[in-house]
Amino acid sequence: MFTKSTAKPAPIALGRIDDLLAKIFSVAAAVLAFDVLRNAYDQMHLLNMFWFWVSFAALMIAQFGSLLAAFVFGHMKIWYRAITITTFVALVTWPLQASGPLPDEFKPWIWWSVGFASLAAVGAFNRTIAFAVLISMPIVWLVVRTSEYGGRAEFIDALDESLYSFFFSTSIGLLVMFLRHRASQVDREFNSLQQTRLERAFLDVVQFERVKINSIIHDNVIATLDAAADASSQKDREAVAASAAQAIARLNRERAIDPGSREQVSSQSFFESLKVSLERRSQFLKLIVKSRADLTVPVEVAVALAEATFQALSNSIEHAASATKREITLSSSPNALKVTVVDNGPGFRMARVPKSHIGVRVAIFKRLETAGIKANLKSAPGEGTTWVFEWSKP
Amino acid sequence: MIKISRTWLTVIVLTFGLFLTAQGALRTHNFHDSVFAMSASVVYFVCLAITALAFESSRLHSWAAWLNIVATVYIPLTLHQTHIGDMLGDSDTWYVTALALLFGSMAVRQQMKLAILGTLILAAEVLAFGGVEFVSRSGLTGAVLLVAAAIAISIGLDRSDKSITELQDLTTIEKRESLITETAREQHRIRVDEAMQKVLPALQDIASGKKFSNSDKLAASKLAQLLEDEITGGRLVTAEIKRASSAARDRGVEVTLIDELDVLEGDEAEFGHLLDIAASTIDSVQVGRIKLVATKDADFLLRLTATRPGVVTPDLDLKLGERQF
Repeated sequence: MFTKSTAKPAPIALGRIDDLLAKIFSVAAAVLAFDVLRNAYDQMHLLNMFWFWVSFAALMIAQFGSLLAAFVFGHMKIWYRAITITTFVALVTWPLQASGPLPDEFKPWIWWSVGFASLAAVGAFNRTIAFAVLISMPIVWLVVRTSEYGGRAEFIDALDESLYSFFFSTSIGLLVMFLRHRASQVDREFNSLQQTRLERAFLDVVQFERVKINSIIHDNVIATLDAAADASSQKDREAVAASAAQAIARLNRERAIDPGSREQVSSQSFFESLKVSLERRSQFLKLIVKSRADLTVPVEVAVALAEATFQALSNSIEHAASATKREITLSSSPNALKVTVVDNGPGFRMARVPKSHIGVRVAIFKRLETAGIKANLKSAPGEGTTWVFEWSKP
Repeated sequence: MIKISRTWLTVIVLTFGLFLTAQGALRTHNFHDSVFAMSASVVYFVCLAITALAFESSRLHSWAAWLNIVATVYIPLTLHQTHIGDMLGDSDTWYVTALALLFGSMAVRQQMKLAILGTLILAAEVLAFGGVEFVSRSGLTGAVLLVAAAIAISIGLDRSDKSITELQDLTTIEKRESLITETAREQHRIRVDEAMQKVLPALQDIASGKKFSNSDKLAASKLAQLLEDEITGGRLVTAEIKRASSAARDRGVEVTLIDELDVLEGDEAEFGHLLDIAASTIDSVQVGRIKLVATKDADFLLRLTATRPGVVTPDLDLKLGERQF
């Protein structure tokens, strides 16, 4: 039974979008870091050196780390968090830096990091925390900016700056959230489509194996059992014992096959062994081999082709005993194999064959269909029978 | 395909744009001529509204894009020429971020070249009106980054689409191949073991060449019949159907089982229940032939016909289950 995966879908689209956003963010943040650097350099003589260097170095390390993470190492989330947290901590601890007297028009250097640090929260945390940061960071700035440590700005000017920061980071943050949401949606849609495709593939394999074993049972076992039920003489018993031994050997051979091994066989060696087997089955048979190219064929295809050919030949021998012509042509081109089985016997109408007669339906049509081989039958009463089996390299 | 939603873009851009316009409109007292200062805000918001809202197609019409370029020349020129004293930066330079927002929207709406041209004109104006010192106070760096980010996102999304599709195809192929290999191995093992368990004792008996008693012959014949039933009957061959068919055959009734579909559809339990009904119907037939078919395209799931010897039209034609198309 096919079990649908309940695991979270592989984030293919989300991964790509995150990668793209990380690169754009880290480059933009690096460029803006020059503004931070310039303003910090201008103000550092006014600030407490210890706290200044702790805050400044932490922020610069986070910025540099994000650049490396986006382009080289990955794990961008850690650096988004680092940028958000270092900026937030620097804001909250700002009074420790600005402990001395400050000039007019003073604006803390950390301002140039507030917008991008808020935006980084969108990549760093879940939606709730991200929104909390997007709202709280401008509020903290408002408090710092209007305080004696932040330049005692007019409330309206500080509010203006806080609103600017809020709108800037929230606008871009919402777009980023939308893109990530859409990418997750694409991943979910793809996952659902993939599950359907895998289920189809699973059913195809189950059907292929079922038809293959059914075909082996039909060709080798049922006929033997029927013959055993009818055997009356010693000669019959010997023939049926040989047939049973062959059936056991066929089943043992099948058991030893690994269908997952994807073994291949060359068309030339396949034709050679098929020719020998066919000649063993009937002496009154014309065999033509037209091998224009040697191509590799999956073993499963070769076995299916051989067994369908044996079945077509057996049917011809059994139902067209009066035929004066019985011919099998094996041909290959660079990309295809073709087997043609022709007799000039009485012929038949496929529509008249009862559905319960499974030789043609199971051992030829279904068996070949599941192996990806086209089977074509041309027959009518009085017009003989022609089978064409064709396999093309995918 | 991942695209920036027009609705979201419009809401976000207009909200942010409105805030920036309000910043400008509330400071007309800093200008010699408040009408001119106000006109800059109005021109800006009209251009932004057209860029965000107008036209059904995702591509912004060229005339609208050129209108934005004209506004890019007009707004900074007007504001700088009418400002009382030098602009110190911050809120008086609202137009820098505002125009960057306009160009970012243009880039998303496939007018990248004109968006870049507009950004270059803006940068030149900031330099010309305020000098190099004014650059950092005007917020030009952030503005240029905003446009660059919008362009990078637009181009990146287009390119990502291709790589996402390629990666998705690769993942499907890998998973499919591994599923096929695993399933083929498992199914092959199960089917071969099942078949051998069923037929090997009988085949070994036959291969020994011993003389078969009548009961041995009957057992061989029954096994052959069961195997044929399993091949043609597929899902129909449940324990109950096997029992009913075997009993019917013992009564001389000819039984044919055909599964046209092979694959289970619908509820397994319900299908089993229908087969139980079919089995009890088989039990009630004493002569002639019975045909039980699991249909492929019919309105019903199962059809059971029973026909007396020498008669063509079935005496009983039972259609069971309803197919959900």
